[in-house]
Amino acid sequence: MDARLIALVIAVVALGAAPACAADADADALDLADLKAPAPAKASDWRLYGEAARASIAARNGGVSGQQDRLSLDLNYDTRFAPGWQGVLSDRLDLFHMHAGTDRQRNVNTLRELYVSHQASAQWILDAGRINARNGIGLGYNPTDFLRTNALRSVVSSDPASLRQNRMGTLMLRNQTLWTGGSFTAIAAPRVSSHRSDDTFDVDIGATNAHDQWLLSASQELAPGISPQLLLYQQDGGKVQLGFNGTLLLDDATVVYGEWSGGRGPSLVSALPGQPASEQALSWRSRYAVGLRTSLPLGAVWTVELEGDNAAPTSPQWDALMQGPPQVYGLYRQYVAAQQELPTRHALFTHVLWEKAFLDHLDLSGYWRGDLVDHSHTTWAEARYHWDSFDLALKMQYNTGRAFTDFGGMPQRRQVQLLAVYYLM
Amino acid sequence: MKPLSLAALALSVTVIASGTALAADAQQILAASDAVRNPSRSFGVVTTLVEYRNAKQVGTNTLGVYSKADADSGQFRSLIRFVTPARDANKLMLKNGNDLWFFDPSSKATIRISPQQRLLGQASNGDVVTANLSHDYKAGLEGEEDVQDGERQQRHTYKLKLDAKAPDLAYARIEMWLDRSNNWPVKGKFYAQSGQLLKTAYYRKFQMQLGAERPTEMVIVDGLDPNWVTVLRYSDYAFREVPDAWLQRDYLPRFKEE
Repeated sequence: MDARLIALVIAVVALGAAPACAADADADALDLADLKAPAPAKASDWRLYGEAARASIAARNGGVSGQQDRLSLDLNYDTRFAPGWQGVLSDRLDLFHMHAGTDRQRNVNTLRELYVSHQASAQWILDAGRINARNGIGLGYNPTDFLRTNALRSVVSSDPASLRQNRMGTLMLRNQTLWTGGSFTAIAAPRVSSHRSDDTFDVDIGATNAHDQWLLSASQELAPGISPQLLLYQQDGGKVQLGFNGTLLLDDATVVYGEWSGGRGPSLVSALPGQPASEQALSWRSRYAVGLRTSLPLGAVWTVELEGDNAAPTSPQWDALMQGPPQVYGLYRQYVAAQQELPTRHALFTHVLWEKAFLDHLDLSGYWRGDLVDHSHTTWAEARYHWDSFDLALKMQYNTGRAFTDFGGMPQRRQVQLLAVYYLM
Repeated sequence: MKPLSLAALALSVTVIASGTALAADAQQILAASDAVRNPSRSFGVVTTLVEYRNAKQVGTNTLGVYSKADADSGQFRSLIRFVTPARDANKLMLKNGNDLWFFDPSSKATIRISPQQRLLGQASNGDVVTANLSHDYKAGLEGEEDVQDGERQQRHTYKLKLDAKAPDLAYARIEMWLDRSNNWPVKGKFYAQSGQLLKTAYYRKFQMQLGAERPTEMVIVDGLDPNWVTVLRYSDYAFREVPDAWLQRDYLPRFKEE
């Protein structure tokens, strides 16, 4: 039998077998569906999980290499306690133990949210208490997230998702009015105290309510799929800051988004604590994040985001800061981290998430952030395998760059962390 | 006009007219089938998805789905809340045509996702119950066929071929088999633009729910990997008032089921 005949026989057999195989697969699927069905799960008001982590840290810039252990308990409770009334509690306790040089212990409790909400009608809602009111649609940088300043009390990862999750809300009164396709939100957050506290169980209200602040935001659907949001923000009677964010579906697989804030204000350097107000030259400052998110073959989702802040130092100013007095450089880095701002004018952020990568329960994710001014960069990656109530994750971060650059100036050169998460409810 | 030409014209008109009538009938059959799956008013349903790979159970998800038909388009808008597993509890997805938003209560992040990204997750299976196919697809009657249904019974069915009216729909083409006696959906095959079979679905276990007999189970066989099977079970059907004002991004952080 020659090769052509063999090929013909194979093709005929395959053509005949294909429908039979499909029918078999369907019959097998129906057999599976006949197995005993699990009872439908009920939604719970509680969410509680614990984390245990061990990190190996390689330091630079005079930092101390070693290991860090962490135990964390994360609680959320969200209940409707009477018709139209809702109560929310969100809290997290982190216990850090550093094995490097001399052992050090640090315990931090973060009261993220505690508030009551009254929904007088389907269209009108009033909230009072500590609320994490987050705005912005960017993945790596959110210039319209006006209430992010000093909101971080315990940083367990530099992953932007973790920074958004583990932050304190602001004590406020918030009113939201909704209508078909749009909404208006007004927030008033009073100055309570400027006293910061590192005490384990302090609510640290001085971090989030050191100023009088108000924030207005409105969104309206202008056309199907187009709902821009406008924001106005003011702090301590200063210059009003504007904000805008919007998204567009480019095609079946791609979303583009943009986020911008602007207003008259000081540069980041002149706004450093201790700088005389007379030296804070006010001029127009713009901040932005524009990005594109698209689905890739095999099911991965890729985001690329360009970020900018013209309140940050220019390249010569940044060089001068890096080569200037270490105290001023250190103060600037601390200040920018607390403000969650970019240290320099331009950055590029790219992120990949691939769920069910190779295996049903394996998720791979990672990001790369490059400082486009000093060319330093950081790479973060995570492999996470999950069972029903348990996750095991391996995380890695690597900072690269010359001394004192954005990422070369980080105290850690490399961190590798093993993390276990157990979901109690 | 010559008699032959006249006859040809008459024949053409008859053929076109009968074709149009068949198409109209197919569209009506499809609309009737949509009504079997979709309650006429806004409603809630709990969907439990059990996922199998190579006949082994590999995952279970529970979703709370709240749906409301848009008064203008007739298309369903849905809020999908993840109930289990615990790591995903209280995450939300808003689906308003191709306007899709995902909300994570942990990070308070609301991000817009693409239709393709939605297809990656189980939510795409979770809300397939509320697809208003007659709105999005142009139906043609391909004929009548005897097929085995999801409970291994022979059914005499209409076979419809559905072509997407817009290029941005999740499925470019669908084949549907609908029971000839009552328009119940029996089986569907869903295809990508490339012609690739994406999933085969069987509708089964019809029960009286919200005033009509509706399927309470769907068995979905993946088109690329036939060993990947998802069984969807619908329970706790109830009419729920979902105000239009809630079906927007800004309400997602507040949504809490009754």
